[in-house]
Amino acid sequence: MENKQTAGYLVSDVHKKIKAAFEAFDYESNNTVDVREIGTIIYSLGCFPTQKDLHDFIAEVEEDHSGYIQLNRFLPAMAKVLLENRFPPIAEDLLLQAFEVLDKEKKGHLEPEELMRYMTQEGEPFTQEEMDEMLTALADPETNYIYYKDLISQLTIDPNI
Amino acid sequence: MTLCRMQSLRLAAVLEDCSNQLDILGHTLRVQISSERGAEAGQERARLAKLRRDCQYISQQVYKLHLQLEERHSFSSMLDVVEEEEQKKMAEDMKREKEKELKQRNDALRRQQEELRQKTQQINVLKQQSRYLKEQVCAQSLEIASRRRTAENYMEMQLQLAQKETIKAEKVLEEQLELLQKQLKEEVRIHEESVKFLQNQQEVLQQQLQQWQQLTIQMLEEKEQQLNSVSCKQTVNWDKLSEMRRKFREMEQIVMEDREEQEKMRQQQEEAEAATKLQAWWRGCMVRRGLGSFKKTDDGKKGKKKKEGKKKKK
Repeated sequence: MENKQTAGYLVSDVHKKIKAAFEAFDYESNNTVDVREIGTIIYSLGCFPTQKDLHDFIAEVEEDHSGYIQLNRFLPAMAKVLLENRFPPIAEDLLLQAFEVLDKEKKGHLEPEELMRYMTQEGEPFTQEEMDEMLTALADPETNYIYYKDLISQLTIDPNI
Repeated sequence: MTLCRMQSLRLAAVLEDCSNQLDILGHTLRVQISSERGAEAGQERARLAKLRRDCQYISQQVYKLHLQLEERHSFSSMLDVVEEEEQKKMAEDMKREKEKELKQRNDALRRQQEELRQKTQQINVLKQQSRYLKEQVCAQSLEIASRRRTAENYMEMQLQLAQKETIKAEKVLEEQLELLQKQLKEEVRIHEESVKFLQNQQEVLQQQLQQWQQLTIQMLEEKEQQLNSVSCKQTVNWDKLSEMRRKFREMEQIVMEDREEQEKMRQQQEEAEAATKLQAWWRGCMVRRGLGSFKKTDDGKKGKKKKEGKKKKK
């Protein structure tokens, strides 16, 4: 019983959160957002989907490749995603593992050139802007190296958000 | 042999002086002889006596010569005396020679006599020895004769004994000979039989041998054919084997390459996943922190309030 109540409470709470996030990008207040904003909305809801995940999700909720997403379709799909915790925040140890994979020589840090190469050429490549932001935020001001072990603990976000 | 008167007178004077001198010498000698005494003086006395006699003789002859010279003025008497003396001397020399010879002969004769005596002694010794030897020969011949007789007797007895034994042995040998002849006949018969038997056997065996040789030849041929086919197969198999090996090496290389490629792919995959993860994470971070383009949008739109509200909720 309690679980059900908690679940019911959670569902209404989650609906509220999704609605709030959606409305922030519904510039014309017609319960519609541009497809390109969906990623930002989902990220702002504390999810960490990959570009592929995003594409799949958009394919699920978009209507006839119109380029817009209706709230009435987005809301249940997104609620399901959140409840299922489909795009969970990436845990510290997994992030650490990912950095270690890229740090081939196990130096304990990455050089900006290395990071740039991986981020712009592998996986789902960054734009120049994203790359610049990342280097500005993560690189050590003196050596310009990225000491990822220290950074992770500072940057990981509480999954409860 | 006559001289003139003067010469004979001078000579007579000299001779008279000589006879006087000789008389003196004779007297001196007579005194010396009488004065000589002792045992050792014998020889000396004889020598002196002879000198005195010689002096007397010379004085006689000088007297004669003196008379002759005075009477007839010749010296032939002296020549006669000298000749007479020479003859005497010659006769004495002859006599001395003969005496010497005689003495030598006597010495030789004595030596011969001595030798003769020694030889006769030797002969006597030899005679004694020969007598002793003759006796010994006689004794030995006697002994030999007796021994020979004994030996002859013994030999005769031995001969008789041997003859008897020989006769016995001959009999035994004859019996044996008969037996052996019988045995020989038997042996000959057996031998013939066995020869026949063995000949038969040999024929049979030779037939078998021929059969076996034929069989062996056949088998050899078969085996050789088998060997040939086997070696052909072996070569083929060797070829196959080397081909297989070559293929195996190729395959191995391909597998190695494939593995390396897979490893590479895996690493790439890993890297891509890691990169994707980081990219997703960072995009989330950017949105939530309002970095980059999100800042701008936030600035211009009403969503800013909502976001801030959210952050406050944190």
